Amino acid sequence: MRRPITKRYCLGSPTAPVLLLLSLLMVGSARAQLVWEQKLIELRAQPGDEKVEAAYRFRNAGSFPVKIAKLTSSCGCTTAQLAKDTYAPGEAGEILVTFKIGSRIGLQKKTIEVRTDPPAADPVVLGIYTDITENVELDRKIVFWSRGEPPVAREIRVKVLQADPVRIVRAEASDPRLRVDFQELVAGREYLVRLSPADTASALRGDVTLHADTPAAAPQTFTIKARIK
Amino acid sequence: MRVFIPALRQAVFLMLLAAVPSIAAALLHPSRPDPSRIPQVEAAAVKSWTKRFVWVDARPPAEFQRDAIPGALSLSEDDWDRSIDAFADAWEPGVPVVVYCGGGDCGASESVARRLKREAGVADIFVLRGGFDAWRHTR
Repeated sequence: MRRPITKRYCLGSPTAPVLLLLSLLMVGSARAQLVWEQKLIELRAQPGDEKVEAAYRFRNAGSFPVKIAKLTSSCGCTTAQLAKDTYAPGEAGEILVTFKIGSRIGLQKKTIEVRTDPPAADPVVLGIYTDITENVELDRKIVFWSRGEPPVAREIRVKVLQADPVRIVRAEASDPRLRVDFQELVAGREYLVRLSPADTASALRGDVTLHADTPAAAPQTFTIKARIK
Repeated sequence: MRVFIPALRQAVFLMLLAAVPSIAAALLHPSRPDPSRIPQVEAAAVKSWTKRFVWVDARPPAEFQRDAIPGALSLSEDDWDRSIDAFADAWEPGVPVVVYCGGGDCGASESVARRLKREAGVADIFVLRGGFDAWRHTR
């Protein structure tokens, strides 16, 4: 014999919507309510810059204190600092995120996950997107030949991406078996560099350095690695 | 035959009609596959490879020092200019490269793989899905 559904468990009961609403309100009140000014900060940097920093401001919009329990970075290169852990209702604070650039180039997307006590309804993920644009782009930075193959020249295209022109004035190879010459395709903006070994009979491990005449105080150099293996 | 031709015409019309939103979705959808993305490979699949390949560890050098996949080269963007020499010495054109970082969505492996593809012309390059954590769990 089937047991009748008691009024206590029946969803059709008139008290059910009220209980549901109350339980939802109770769950809601147990959630942290940090309001963020922005969760994604986009920055630009140049190769050689040491670091970039971004400040993520927030305010505790809830009615009870919120503790920032844990900050987890997506990369060892990104750190997050906080002046203190716990924020009273209405109190504002900020997380300072530092991204160490190192030798990175291109668009770098790093994130920091913020965990609070009590927890937020959704995990908060702060993004720091840094576009590290190269001033001068080489379409190849390492060239190879296999031992015994014909010593055909390898061509590398050099493009100046910055507004100011860059004049390459000299190219030199660290190994006398490596010949290097370059041609200016577009004045101050584009070059074609040709590398060719005298022969490929034995292994070679060398570098080719392109010397520019700018900036005057510390002229730039660009390195291409060459290997015969 | 007289019945067949209009039916065929209708079928072609319906196919063309369906093709329009499909092509639009393929070109404009925000989560469409990115052709420049480096292909991912599972740790279990790599372990079954018998061909020669190079492991590249994209994590910071300190993490590499603590524990790494045996035979892996450390090539982190923290000290790229110094480590790239070791890669140029170890790798030969035509040899596949598998890059890994810590795991989850660390992102460093994708970034290093992209650079190796562009700067050294490594054509056969993969990112280890799940990173070092995944490799450790399939030991």
